[in-house]
Amino acid sequence: MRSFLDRLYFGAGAVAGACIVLITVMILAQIIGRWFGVIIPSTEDFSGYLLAAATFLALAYTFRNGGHIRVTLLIHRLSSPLQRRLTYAVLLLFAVIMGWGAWHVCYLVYESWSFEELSQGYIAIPLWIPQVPMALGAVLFFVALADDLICSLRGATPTFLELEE
Amino acid sequence: MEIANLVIVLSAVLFAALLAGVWVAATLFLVAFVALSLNGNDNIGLLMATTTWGASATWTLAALPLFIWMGEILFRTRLSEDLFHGLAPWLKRVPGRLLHVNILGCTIFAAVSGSSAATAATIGRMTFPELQRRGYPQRMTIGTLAGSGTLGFLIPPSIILIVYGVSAEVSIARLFIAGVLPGAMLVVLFMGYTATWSILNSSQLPADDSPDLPLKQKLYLTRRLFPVLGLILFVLGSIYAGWATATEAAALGVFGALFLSWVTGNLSRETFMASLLGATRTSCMITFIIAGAAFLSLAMGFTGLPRLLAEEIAALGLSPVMLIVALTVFFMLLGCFLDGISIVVLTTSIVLPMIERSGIDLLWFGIYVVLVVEMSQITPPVGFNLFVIQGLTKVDIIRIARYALPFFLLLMTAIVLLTAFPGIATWLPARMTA
Repeated sequence: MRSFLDRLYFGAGAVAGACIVLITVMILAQIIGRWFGVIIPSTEDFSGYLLAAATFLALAYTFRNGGHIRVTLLIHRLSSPLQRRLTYAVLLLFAVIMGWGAWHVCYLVYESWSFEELSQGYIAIPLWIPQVPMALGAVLFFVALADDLICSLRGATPTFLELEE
Repeated sequence: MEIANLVIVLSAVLFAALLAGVWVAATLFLVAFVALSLNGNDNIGLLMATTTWGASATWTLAALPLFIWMGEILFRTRLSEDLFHGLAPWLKRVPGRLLHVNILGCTIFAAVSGSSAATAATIGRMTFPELQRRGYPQRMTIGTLAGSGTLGFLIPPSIILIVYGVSAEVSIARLFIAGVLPGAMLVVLFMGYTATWSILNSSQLPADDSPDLPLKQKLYLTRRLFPVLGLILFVLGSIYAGWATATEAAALGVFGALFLSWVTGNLSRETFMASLLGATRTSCMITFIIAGAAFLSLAMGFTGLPRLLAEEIAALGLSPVMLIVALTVFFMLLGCFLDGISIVVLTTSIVLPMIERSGIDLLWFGIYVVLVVEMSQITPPVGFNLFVIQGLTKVDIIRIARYALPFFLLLMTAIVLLTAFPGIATWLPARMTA
């Protein structure tokens, strides 16, 4: 289970990285196309979708690596039992927020699908397709937060704490 | 709910959450949620989901991961060493000699990295031991590093200007160009101060033992810097000339950086993956904060708070200059515990209507905010960059803050100059061909 989850977080992060590569390639193709008078349609829309996918799929992976920032100035001055309890509290709070967030993001995708909404650009595609990575990433991030909360309640040090600067 | 109570409750939630160590992005979502609940809105979840989608799937924001990736690639070449060895021979005749390597090195590195902490850390790791070994006074070594480390925010392509541009809906290309002259002004101020100090305190500087090299040899030692400088000028030039949007320039920058890293033999599977994953993490962190800030802006719009605040300020009859003075103090307080990006997104969510109402140019305000944020990062007794340098040099933070004080004052001077002569920021973008 542990190694499965870890691979899942990393895998999603790697897909997010691939999205960034795709954005670069697409924009470069657009620039080169323009020199030869070829217009590649909807690159702007697709870059946006890929960026959203990159952001959400990387959430859990970034979190596990201590990448999301927070203010640690005050916490570091507290005694370590107090720090521990505060870690539980903020993890729980973040997990609740993200659980709520993931639920509503998934619902948004469901609505886009059931109302058959189309994207606005030159090439109109069903809007739920680019929204699915957002929902997947949000759910995975919720899982990662719950995962760290459970692990730290069991006495382990959450990974983000080790890797935070 | 009474508006005054709302202000108190929301500020309490914001600061309690931040200080308790709730992640910045989560705090923004939380405060927005509380604001909308107290305002009695229905469908908060739907509002959140649509705003988050709208904020994260935008074309202009695509410049962000690309510029970060470009920096990550160049960061993994031998850039910081090349900067030291390439700049040193040229500074022999400048009073303060190698101290200027800190300033110029940070300037060039800031142009590729766009992050302040990374700039101070990378340049400092290279120059601090070297300058100490050669007997340069610790006071100036640390001071120049702390001061010029903050240049990462202003020298384009700057990550924080992208964040401001996206949140305030100001053209990123114009912001970049607007940052050029103020950035150059800061470099001149820093170098001027260092040179003057060195002339007045020449006894504290080590004797010069290096031979004066002929021009050809100097150029040879600097050869590795020219491609990087060329890349930066190309990226900025293509924006200025209107050949490319900021996002396109960023994609070209990534391509150029990969090419440079390949030519110099630094590109391997490992460095490619490490740079890409590093960029993925940083960009994810920032974009998630931007999504939270967009939700907070929406919530603030529903509560009518920023509008009311703007009216209150207008009713006070504050002149724009007074407003700027008040905001400067406010930002400096925030800078004691918050990083630059968080300060900027909080600003755009709450303060922007006030700024527009006072008739202050949003392009100018972007540059001003970045300058103040820079200053807030080295405000004694606490500031983000001071911690970075503490980690690097193991010198006690109060002493670092004291060494950084002259540079803090120079940044303050720059803000006064920018306010007195707004053209420093707005003149160049007005001449862009776009």
